[in-house]
Amino acid sequence: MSDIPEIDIEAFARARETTAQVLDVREADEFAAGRVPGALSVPMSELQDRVSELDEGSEWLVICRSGGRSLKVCQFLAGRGYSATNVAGGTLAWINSGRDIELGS
Amino acid sequence: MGSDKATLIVGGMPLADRVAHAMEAVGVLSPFTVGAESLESSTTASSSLPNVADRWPLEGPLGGLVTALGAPEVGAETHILVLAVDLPYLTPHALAAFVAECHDRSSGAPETSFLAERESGLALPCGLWSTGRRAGLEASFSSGERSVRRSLSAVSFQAISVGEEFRDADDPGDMP
Repeated sequence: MSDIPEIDIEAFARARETTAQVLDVREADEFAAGRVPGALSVPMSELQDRVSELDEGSEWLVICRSGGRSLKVCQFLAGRGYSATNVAGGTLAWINSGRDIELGS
Repeated sequence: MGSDKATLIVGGMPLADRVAHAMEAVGVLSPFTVGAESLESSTTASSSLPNVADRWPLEGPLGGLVTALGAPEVGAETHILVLAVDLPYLTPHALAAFVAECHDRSSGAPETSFLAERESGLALPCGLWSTGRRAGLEASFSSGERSVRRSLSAVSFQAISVGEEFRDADDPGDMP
């Protein structure tokens, strides 16, 4: 069983309003097609090289398309001392909740 | 070989895809390649697999191995199956036998890697590698070493006998 904390989309929407930051780990084309407003894009395939871009003192809310990749990224970040929470349901859940999205690169 | 071996078509598909097919047949859920980042997308131009950008492109297999062991795609796995892309003779049956032997030996040994060994010697980088030993391998790389073979002192491993299905292709004459 994973020890990674996980939140649903409603809890995510509330957490976004705090100092927590949103990390979107989908690929660039997915990110451009629609994302949570204000999310930082670091594709999972690039994360190992770019992890130093992430503030170690921040709480990271990690999101992907549906929650699979983001869970692995949370495990990766947790192993490196980051505070990371997986967003269950991912961007699909955000879109389905009817909330605003950003488009474009 | 003079060209990217992953792109070579053998039996109607790129070599990388042949290896991936064998991996998926033995239950590997999310195979990926490690290589130079594609200019178009995260999918290599030569394969249908997602690609993880090699942290040290063109620096040899040790860097690729360290990249694979540390990739977020690995999640919380204690071991990952690593295969070279140029294994034109690899069959799902041969790979399944190797994986089964590794699993029999790996219980309670998260820090031990299990490396394929042909009659001619270790078939590096093919093996079930312990992710817990990534730091030691990365330290070897950082010290200037580029050979997986010369970095084996950084890992605890057991050799698993395999057949010629694990024979790699160094030149066109090696192709079936």
